[in-house]
Amino acid sequence: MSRLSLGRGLAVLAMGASGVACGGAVASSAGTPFSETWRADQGKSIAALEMRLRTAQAPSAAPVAVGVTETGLVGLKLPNGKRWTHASTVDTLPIVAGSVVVASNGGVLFALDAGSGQLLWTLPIEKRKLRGAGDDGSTTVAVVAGDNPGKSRFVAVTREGSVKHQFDSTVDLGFPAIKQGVAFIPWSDQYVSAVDVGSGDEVARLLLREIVTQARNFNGDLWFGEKGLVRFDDKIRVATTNQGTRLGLPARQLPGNPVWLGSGNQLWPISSSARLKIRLSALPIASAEGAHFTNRTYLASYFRVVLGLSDQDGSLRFVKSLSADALGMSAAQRGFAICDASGKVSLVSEQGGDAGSADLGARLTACTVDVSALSLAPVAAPATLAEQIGRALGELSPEMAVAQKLLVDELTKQDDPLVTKILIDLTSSAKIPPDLRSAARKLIATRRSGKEYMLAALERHYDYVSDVLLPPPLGPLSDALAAMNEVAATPLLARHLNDPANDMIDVEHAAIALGKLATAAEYEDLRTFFALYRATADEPSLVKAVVAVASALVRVGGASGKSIVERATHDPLTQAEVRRGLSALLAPESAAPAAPPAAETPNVAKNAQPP
Amino acid sequence: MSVRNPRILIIGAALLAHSLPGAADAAPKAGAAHGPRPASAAAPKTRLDLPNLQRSLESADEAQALAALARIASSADPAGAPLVEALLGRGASVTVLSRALSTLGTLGLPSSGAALAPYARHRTPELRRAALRALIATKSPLAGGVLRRALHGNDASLRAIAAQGLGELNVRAAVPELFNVLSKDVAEAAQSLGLLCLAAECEKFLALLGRLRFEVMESGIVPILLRPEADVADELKLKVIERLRRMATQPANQLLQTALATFPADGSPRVKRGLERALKGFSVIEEAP
Repeated sequence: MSRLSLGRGLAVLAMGASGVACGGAVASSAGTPFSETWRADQGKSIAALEMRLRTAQAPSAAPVAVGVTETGLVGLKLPNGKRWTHASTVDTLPIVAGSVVVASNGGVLFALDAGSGQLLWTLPIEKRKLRGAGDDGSTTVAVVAGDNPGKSRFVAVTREGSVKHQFDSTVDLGFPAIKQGVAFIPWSDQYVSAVDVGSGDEVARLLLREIVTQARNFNGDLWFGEKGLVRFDDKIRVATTNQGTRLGLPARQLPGNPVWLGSGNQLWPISSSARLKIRLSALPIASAEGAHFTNRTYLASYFRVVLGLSDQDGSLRFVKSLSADALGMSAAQRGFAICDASGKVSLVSEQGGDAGSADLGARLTACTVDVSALSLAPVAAPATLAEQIGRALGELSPEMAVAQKLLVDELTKQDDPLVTKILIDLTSSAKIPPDLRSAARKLIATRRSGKEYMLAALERHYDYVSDVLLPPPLGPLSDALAAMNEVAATPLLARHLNDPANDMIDVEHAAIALGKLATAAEYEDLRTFFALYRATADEPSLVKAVVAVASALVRVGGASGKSIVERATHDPLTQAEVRRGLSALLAPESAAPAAPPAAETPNVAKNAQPP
Repeated sequence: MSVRNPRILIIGAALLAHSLPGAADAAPKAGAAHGPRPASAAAPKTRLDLPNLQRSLESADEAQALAALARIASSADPAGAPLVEALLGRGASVTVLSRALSTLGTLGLPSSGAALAPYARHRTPELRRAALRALIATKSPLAGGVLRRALHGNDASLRAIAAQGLGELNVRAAVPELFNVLSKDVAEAAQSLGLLCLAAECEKFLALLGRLRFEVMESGIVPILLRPEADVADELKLKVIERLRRMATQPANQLLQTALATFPADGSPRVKRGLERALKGFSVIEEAP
């Protein structure tokens, strides 16, 4: 069945409203909330319902974090409530619905008080598991389903545990919501049926022209959809023709291709699967300016890194690196909460700064967090974005290469000179995969700021004793500094010229930079290099380096430097390719090259006297 | 005495170095004279045909240059050194450079250090190793600094040569670096530490027994046992002997045998007695009657 086709073979078995949970009998009753013969009503019924319910407010979700441990649940009212535990574990991700935490385990649906963890009711659901839930303050609705498609069951349970309504369906029912006693149940990927949980009657139906598997209560507002959401407001009547209040996240390539709400027709099993760790989180809101996401930002998790991204264009706003994998996230009215596998709940300000934290006190396999009703104030200003990216890159392990690549790409969009340092550090980090290290090297060559970091890096050499086992990225630094006409780099480059720990390619670039920048102060280093390699250059890079150094000798070495190069040009022991290069260098047209543009000329006048 | 060859070679090398007369203070000196002296400035009393050798070394003919270097090396005449140093200053093919470096090592003149030093950082491994060996042989005042720098480099073979050379040249300033590389499995550092350590340094070295592999440590132990009491206290030596005895392994026993066989005539009688008792299986501490 295609996702947007009408549900064929829809068979709804409605059940009575007098059953009592905790093993009580469930009686059947008449009523068919879904009908295959329903005729589109141009949004009239749903608009009438919206008008009837407009003044009623669906309760916000309690601000709470609920972690799943090996042995049960641990919860905490946020931002700083008392920790509670529940001895039974769960088989799918718990859901915070109003002031209730709904979960399932071993064929039993149960509800806990979100603030205290106290068990409110249990309901046998055979072999089904929790798929979605909502609450209107007095009635909790839930859709439970088996691991395979079909066999969805809708239940509406009072706070005392009485089943107000229950029915089974052979088509998949999506994630439900409830407002003022009316349940909103997505089905067949394109409808939302509004069902009076008292009578079991369908009182309205919404037809959407995009996939709808989710009916969500975000801080009192109902929204329907999946990838994009349509608000249940005064424009709902025209939603069928795509004129409703709609909101979606901008398209953006992200590591692991995370989804926001995902399909409401699927289960979220508790497992070590990456699915729980690669997600998006956003909180839609309607205001005078129209619908948007709170903080104008949404979150994207990828294991131990969480990105804050613009809801307009997906640009990076902040980066949060965690000590353990992110398992649950929630956007607040202002700020965010992230629950990780260590049991820590990090509260983050809207700008990505620290807004406090809470601790669930145990390692977690899954976590649900909801702070949609909270406004979190920053306790510390965030570091610059470049610093945040640098820190995250430093903390990510090599298997996080996809996230590392994204962060490096983001880094290069920053003007901060610190980016240069971060890139240099990346080239020296064993945590960074070789291809990314190579990418960082290329990016360094394009930098034109952060000179002080480049010079500091050049001070460093390979040092076995001090455990500096990677030399600095000499080649890219040489290219950048040469492009910046940075004469202060010349003594450092000259020292690296004669350090055999540097890669030959890097030495070639250093030699070329010195060809442009060297002063008479580097004469001895240049002369030594020339003597060591003019006859032993055994690879193209070394040949190029020798010729570049020769050009520097001719330029800064006065008669002595020129004489050395001339003698080598006529010495048959000089490597043939080098000799050819030297001859070209000493040819009349090379001896008096046209002056480069002033801006390109390094300031070497004060050191230009030959030794 | 049954011995394992590699181990005996190591110990033999250590003993050879130990027997060297007071090695030069090889601290690096800045501003050493650079560049060759002209052949005419060489000592006048020489059997070498210096002008002819110079022509050969400056010729484009590699065979001629090699022959000239062979003549200088076989003569062992210091007068030939400036010609070879000048050759190094100009540069040449790897074959010629290699021979030139070994020639300067054969001549063994401290003044050759400035010409040799840059080649210790040549990109061709055999050249830098030959340069380092030649520097050690010349006992140039520059050698200590160059060897210490080589210890920091990325060439494991060069580090080994440097570690050994620092002991041979008595470069005390290198002791902290030698300890550093010893813990990174540069076994040659043990031998040098055995020669260079004083008092607490020797105790620190011996405390590494059992923490580092015996194969890494062993070349430093005999030299310590043969050092005078002014450098290493007899008590410490006896502790080491007892430690080796209790190890009751063949390599440890061989070390004790080597130490006893080469024990200096003017060495401490207590230590010698300790070695003898240990080899017979008795504790080095004699019990009161």
